Amino acid sequence: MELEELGELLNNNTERNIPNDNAAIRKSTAGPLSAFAKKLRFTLIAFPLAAVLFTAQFLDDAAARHSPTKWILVTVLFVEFLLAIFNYIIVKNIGNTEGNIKQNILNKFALIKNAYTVHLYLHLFLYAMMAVALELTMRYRLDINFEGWSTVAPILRIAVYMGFLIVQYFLRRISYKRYYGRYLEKIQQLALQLEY
Amino acid sequence: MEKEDLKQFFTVLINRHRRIIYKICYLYADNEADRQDLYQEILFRVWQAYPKFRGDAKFSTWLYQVALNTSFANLREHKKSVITHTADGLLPDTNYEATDDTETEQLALLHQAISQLNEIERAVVVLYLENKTYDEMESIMGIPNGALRVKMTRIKEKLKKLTKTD
Repeated sequence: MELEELGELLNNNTERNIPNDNAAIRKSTAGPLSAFAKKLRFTLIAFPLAAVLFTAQFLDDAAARHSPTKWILVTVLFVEFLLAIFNYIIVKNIGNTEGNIKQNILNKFALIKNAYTVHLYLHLFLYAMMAVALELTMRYRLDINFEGWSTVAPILRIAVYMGFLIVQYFLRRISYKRYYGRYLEKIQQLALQLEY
Repeated sequence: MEKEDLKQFFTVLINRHRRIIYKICYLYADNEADRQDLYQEILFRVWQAYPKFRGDAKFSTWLYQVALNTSFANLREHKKSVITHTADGLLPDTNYEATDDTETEQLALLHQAISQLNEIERAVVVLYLENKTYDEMESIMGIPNGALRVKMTRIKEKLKKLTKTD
């Protein structure tokens, strides 16, 4: 069968089976991207809620205001909040339909790849900084809650920090692949198909 | 333009070009349920992107871009993204009305052949079958004219082989 014959067959069948309903414009769809964006919107609410709780505690308790541990937690939450916004922007961009096919595919490929690197290394840096902050807190006895931990041998503490960093690095990789892996895989496939 | 007017104008425009969307759904979704989902997804994305349509290209050209980009990004869970067939080689869950057995067979053959093409090749085929010029195809796909011609020759050969052996 020639391609033109296939085309005619396709045309006839499309004409016959095209839905008769008028174009229904919806506010959202049940597509995976929309569902993912919805999930992220929910996580975006978590930070302001946590911030309100912390503020309430800071207002009530002067000791809490001067606790470096609390400030570290606030910082972590804030960075997680920024990353949630960043994730939301990525998901919105994966759904971007503008531009020609090739450009669109290449842009998405670069976006997901770069986001992957930023995610992994930003988290690694953040948690490394937390370990440093924790050590400084103990060194200058800023928080009595860590008295017990400061008695542990430094080499063991460093080993625990390293272990934590490695575990969280791999967990982040798994989580990123779970959320974006299939998109990246699909875009990689499409990019290859464009070439050949 | 008021939002309601814009919506009405958009609806008229889409109704005129529904065939394009449905054809893409037919080529990129496995069954009727997926086709309807993809149809809604494309409609939703087209409506979202419509305010940015400046009219410097033909509406149909722009619509092809949005619809194809949506199809490529539309990864649904728990459903296969390739067209599947039943043991007898026919398409599962299709509400397509074939007029006779020969047409049913031809339809199955058509789907079998198309399922062997990759997604980019399917996009090229759909544009070719819509009698788009290579220049128009270039502006939609972003692939240079020459490369598109080479791709098209390869696709034709591939389809010829596929439909011959089947």
